[in-house]
Amino acid sequence: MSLLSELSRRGAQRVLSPVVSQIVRTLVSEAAGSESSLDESALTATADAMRGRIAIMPRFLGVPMAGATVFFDLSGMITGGKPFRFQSPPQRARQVALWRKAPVSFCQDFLEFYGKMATFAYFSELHPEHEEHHA
Amino acid sequence: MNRTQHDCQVLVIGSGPGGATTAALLAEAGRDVLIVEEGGHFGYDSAPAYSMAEMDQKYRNGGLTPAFGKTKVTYVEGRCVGGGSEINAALAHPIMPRTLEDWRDRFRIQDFGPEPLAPHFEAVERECHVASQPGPLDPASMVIKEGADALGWASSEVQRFWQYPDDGVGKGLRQSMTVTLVPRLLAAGGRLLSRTSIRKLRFRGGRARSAVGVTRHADGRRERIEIRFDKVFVCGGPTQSPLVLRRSGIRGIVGDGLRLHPMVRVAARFDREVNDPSAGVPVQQVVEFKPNLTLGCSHAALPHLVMWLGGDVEDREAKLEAWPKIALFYVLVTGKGVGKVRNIPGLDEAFTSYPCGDEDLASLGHGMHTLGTLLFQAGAVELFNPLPGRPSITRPDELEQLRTGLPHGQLTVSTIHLFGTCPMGEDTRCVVDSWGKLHRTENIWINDASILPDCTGVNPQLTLMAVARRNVAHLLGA
Repeated sequence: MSLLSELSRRGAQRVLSPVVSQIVRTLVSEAAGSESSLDESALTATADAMRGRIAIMPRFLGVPMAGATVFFDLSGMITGGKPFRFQSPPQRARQVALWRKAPVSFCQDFLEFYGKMATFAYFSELHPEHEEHHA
Repeated sequence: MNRTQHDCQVLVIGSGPGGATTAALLAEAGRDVLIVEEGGHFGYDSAPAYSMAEMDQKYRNGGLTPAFGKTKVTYVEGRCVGGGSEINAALAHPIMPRTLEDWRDRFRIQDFGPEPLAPHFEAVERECHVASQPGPLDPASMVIKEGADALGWASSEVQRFWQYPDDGVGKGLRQSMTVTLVPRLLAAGGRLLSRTSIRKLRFRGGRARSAVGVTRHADGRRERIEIRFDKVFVCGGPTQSPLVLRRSGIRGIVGDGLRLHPMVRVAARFDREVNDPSAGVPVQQVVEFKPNLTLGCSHAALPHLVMWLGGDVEDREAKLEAWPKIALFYVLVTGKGVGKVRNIPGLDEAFTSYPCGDEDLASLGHGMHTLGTLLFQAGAVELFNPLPGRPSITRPDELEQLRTGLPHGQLTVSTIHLFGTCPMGEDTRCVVDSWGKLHRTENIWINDASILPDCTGVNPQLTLMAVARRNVAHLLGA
């Protein structure tokens, strides 16, 4: 049983991993105001942190969030002709804009979660000196 | 499967300010006390404050749990030894006397109010070193003070649970539960079992006899436990205490009365430096409109600022380069909605709903307008629009958009203060009596923020600890 659950966890991570990385890259570059100056190692650490965050969510949120991440990726086939993870940066920005304007609040919640947490994690990685002990 | 057995006279479930106060005072009175805590025992300096590492370590669900409603409200709770006291701003704001009187009258709480509680407030302030920050105010607090002074509004510095160094060297020490009451509990012979979650209480002959749960050891091992007791105090906080009771078959109105302080953050840019995270947590609040509306400033290192810039920001990169000119402020209101906490069948998780409706949105809108007025008065040149996709606000006459017709579901609303899921008093809406004892039971008490029957209008830790202390004193004197 535990082997099965470990395999399914690894399988889910394999599917989620590239999508989460590209969502993180798109939203962090938006928050930073530029994609050219992004730090690759901080981006990688941020994507890892986001996957970890989904894993520790309550199950009634974490499972739908993982499903929504896959759905977000696949919906790129309608909006940009291919899954989000394979799109060009302008195509990804367009898909994010479309989801932000969607009439379903779930779409905004999805991007808010990724946007806020990824931005926080990325800038924490980039500027560890800003993390303060016992404020 | 066998369960490891523990025995004690008094079991306390949860080690936040309510549970730690309860456990320490009972142990010091000679009772055999065992306190259990779902989270780990880390100590105050195990991770940088307000960091991702701290969220992973000490927050429930890594820091983000939504209360569902028309407008979602995200809340944070501590899940570690010491509970919320380990992660909050440690602000110790006295509750307004009229709020206590209002609770006493509306919920028919016996021997309650400013006077009966006064000695308990004094004891908490003394024992937990409630003090003013020495030295000058930090720059973000100065913004609040200058703006309020110019508008003729009252503002004041909020004291903190903090022991400042006598010689002025160093930052001093947060007086969280792991520094104050947990050591007192252990010194008095009490026992602490961390990483242990209680699933439910078991009954025999009309009395609660034991609690069953699981200890998750650091090496990944899970050990099923049963704790036998004479008395039990459920102090898991406003979402977890009702869950334990409901899983134990005590349902009815348990978990029904959730109240909270909806909060919105607004970042503002000035033409001077207003942000110095090394100065610690900003402590100035506008108190002119309390308890219904509080305006203040937040800890805002660069990662926090970027997260809350929001809106449609021009020249974002250049503004981030000059980030010390940007500070983070908040609007906190007393919510008018009444939410619920329920357990999801098959999952040991809370499903929380809160109707953040038109009235709450209107209060937040009015608060953002008031805050914006203050910030422009203090010299702000740009307010980063808290509504997504909208451009920054650069003139006071543009503030009206924050006050009228706020759409549901767009504003990022969060809270750190929850109450009322097991209110105290003799009224029919109350789950526990005037002293925290569960109605119609013999040996179950609740002694955490869930018994505060309504919004405090201020940071609640001081009030909660004073009320918890009062309830224990009553039990010991009875």
